[in-house]
Amino acid sequence: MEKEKIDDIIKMLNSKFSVHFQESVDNKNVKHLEYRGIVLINDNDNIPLTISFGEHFPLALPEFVVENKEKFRAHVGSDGKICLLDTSSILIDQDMPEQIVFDCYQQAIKILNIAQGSKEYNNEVIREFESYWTSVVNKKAYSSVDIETVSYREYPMVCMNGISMISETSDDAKAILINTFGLKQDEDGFEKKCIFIRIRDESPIIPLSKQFKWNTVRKYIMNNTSASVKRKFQSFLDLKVKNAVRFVLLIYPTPQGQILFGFRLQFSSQRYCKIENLSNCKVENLLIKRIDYQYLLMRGGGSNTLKEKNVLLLGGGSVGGYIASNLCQSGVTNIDILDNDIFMPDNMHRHILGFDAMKYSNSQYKSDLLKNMLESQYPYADIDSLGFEDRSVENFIRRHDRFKKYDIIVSALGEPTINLEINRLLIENKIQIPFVCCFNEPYGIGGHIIVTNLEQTSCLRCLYTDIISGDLVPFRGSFVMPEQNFKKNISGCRSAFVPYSCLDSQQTAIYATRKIVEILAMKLSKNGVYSWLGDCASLQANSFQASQRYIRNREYAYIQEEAFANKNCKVCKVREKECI
Amino acid sequence: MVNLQKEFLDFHNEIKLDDENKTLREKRDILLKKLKDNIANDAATYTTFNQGSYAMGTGILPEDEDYDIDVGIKFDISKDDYANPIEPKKWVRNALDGHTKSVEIRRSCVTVTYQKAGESLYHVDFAVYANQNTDGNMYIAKGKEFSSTESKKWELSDPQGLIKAIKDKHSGEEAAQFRRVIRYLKKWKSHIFNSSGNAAPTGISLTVLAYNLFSVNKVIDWATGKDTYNDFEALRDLVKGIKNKFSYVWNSEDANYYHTISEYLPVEPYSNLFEKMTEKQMEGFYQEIDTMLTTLNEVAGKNKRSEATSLLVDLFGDEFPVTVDKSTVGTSESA
Repeated sequence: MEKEKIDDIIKMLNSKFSVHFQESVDNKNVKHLEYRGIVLINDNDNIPLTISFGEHFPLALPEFVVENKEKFRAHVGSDGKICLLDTSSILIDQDMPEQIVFDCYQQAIKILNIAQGSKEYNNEVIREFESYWTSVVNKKAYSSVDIETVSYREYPMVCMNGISMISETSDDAKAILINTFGLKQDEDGFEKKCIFIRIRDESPIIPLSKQFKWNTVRKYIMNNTSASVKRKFQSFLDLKVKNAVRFVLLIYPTPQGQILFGFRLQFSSQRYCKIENLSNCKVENLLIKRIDYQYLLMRGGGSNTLKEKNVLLLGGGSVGGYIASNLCQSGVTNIDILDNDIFMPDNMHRHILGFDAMKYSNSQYKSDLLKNMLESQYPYADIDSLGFEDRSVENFIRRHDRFKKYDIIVSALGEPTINLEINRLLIENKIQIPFVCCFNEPYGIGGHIIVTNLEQTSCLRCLYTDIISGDLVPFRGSFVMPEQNFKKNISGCRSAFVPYSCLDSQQTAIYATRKIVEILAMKLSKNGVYSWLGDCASLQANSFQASQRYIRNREYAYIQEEAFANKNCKVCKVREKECI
Repeated sequence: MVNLQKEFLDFHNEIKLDDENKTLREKRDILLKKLKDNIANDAATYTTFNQGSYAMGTGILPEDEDYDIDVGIKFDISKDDYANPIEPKKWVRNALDGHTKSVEIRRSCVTVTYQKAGESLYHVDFAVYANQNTDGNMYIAKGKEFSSTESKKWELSDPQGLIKAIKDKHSGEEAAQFRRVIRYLKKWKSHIFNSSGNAAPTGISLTVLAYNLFSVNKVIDWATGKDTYNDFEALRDLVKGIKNKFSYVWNSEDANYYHTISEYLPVEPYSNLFEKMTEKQMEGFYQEIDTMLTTLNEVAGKNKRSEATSLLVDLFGDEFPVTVDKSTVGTSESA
């Protein structure tokens, strides 16, 4: 925006709010137009304030900067910049530039009026804590400790190659440093002790400072912890040390979750002395990057209830690979993947594994490669690639008691014969573990997720049983007419494949993962067929026909069917007989 | 149980004869033209209509191309003006005599046998009606030329009412299943009774049994949202119904029990369609129905297509297709 227009806006601002902003004479930033003025805060505090217009105004908001940076204020960064509004959650009307400036000014004044030590101040500081703390820290450490139930406890911190990791045990810490941070096994490291201390609910947050004194920290802890924590902390204070480094981490509970921050304390003394009495203590502010499951999951929108669930995933192919990855991201970390297929370069464009997956592995099995990939991406993923026997599903299901350790069985095999055999085994042996089958249809016409064994009124075989006889038929919910051969064969039977794209697999996998997570979170209790519908142009262009089911639902993106029980189903008949 | 619907539909296509049948229409039209060209000037005016099974959509192809075509001739006369019902029958007979291979006045119709050069023999039955009666009803001329006077009579008849009743009983796809099942029964009749030597029930009696006892057998398919018809079960239910229709009666004359059956025309003259069958013949009919039901039950218990269809060939003849079992079905699934 032209300078003249901004000058006009400032004139309007001055007149409207009885202030006197004028163009800054010592503006060094050529890309910004700056206006300085004095504003009266809390009726007694005159604060110099600068309004800075960037070249993108009004697409971007003007910045309001406080000159007195030493004083900590809520929503004011260490550079004095006032955090006005979260621009990611507002829509700016560029046609009203003067109103934008007025609104921002009022918001800036409102923020500056928040009195230090007030409840509002405390709340606002808590909301922005991490950004404040980041601006005043000297050191950084990672923590994988689940702090949910910790009130006072000591944990080890392992430092290797400049990275500090706090975990439940030093072995855990080392494992994360090696597996996730890629440090070498034989890297030199050292260990320090960290004390986690929970601050009592509704205590004020510690007044922020760039340079804390040990005394301030100690008193804050003593004044804001429960009696039992205080006792334990006192015994820490009673310890006698000479020259020592300790880390103290504070867990500050807020309605939005727990804030974790800490201090590195370096005690120096000529002789052994109680920690409490040591005055020569260097305090450094410590930023804690939380990588504990609870925190990561909450940030990722996942669910904590999934942590203990065990998933058996049959098939780590185009669909299965994405399901495994989606499950990990959703918080399902215990996944056993069974697949005896080798990852080939020609799989690459439909598979979550990239070409580089093969580079670092001795094994070429998809399940092993998926395990490597997922465990390095997600520190809490515990993937078993079931590398025993010949890795075949046929062998695995010979012992159906193996199913019993899982909370859900997911088949992304695309092999109805095996799926139906698993269905039979589950029902005949009364194993009531949810069974999810998912697969693509050719040429992007759609995909299906079949959820069974949640209730005992229907089963997978019902969907493969003729409606008026017991005949075995292709999946009755299919989007393509039966008796068409979709296999493409470029260079012999071994390379035959069904044409569908990576996007089809991903769509099926996303939809399947949603259903799996719903089942594990006990939010789904009915058997159902969930289908997504794609376009049929490619199918028809290749002279294939879509089914009646597809044609009559083609206006929808998703459809579902729960009433598919089939009285001719021979597997359900076995169950009925047993009931009688 | 295997799904035999496709086999039944293929079978139906093999055996059906309907009003749209070209051969039939051509043959009928040749004789109607001859009638028109040659009927005496003093004969009353008339209109014609199709009657019989092809008019009801329940006709089956005759074995050996021996078409049986039924045409009704409605003369614009009152029965009261023609005490002798043979007179209008003679109009028809005389018009076609000499122009066809043979013409014969029979009890209920004038039967014309015709053979076009190089083609097979066929006959058309002309039923003769008086259509301008004081009571508004239609009467059929009954009796042969030289029958006794008492067997020459005008009899109340409503052939078009019967056609309408059969046609209106069901509609759409359900009517199509109704007609198919009647055709299966009639095909069974012609196959079984030809070889067994038992006296066969008439086509119209089977049709009326179906009219009263048939119920549609279908299920809605959640996948397509459409009805899926099961002709096999519809037929089996109907055969069960017919079997249950029989009574077991004691005949004191020959000191024997017989299964007997009655079924009445749903229109004028509401006559018993089995009245001409002797008890012994009805027993023969019963035994065949019973055998059919046993076979159908056996078919229902089969899990092999080849075995089920072979049994059905026994019931219906070689037109019923024998299909083979497949151990695989195609799939479009992949992951």
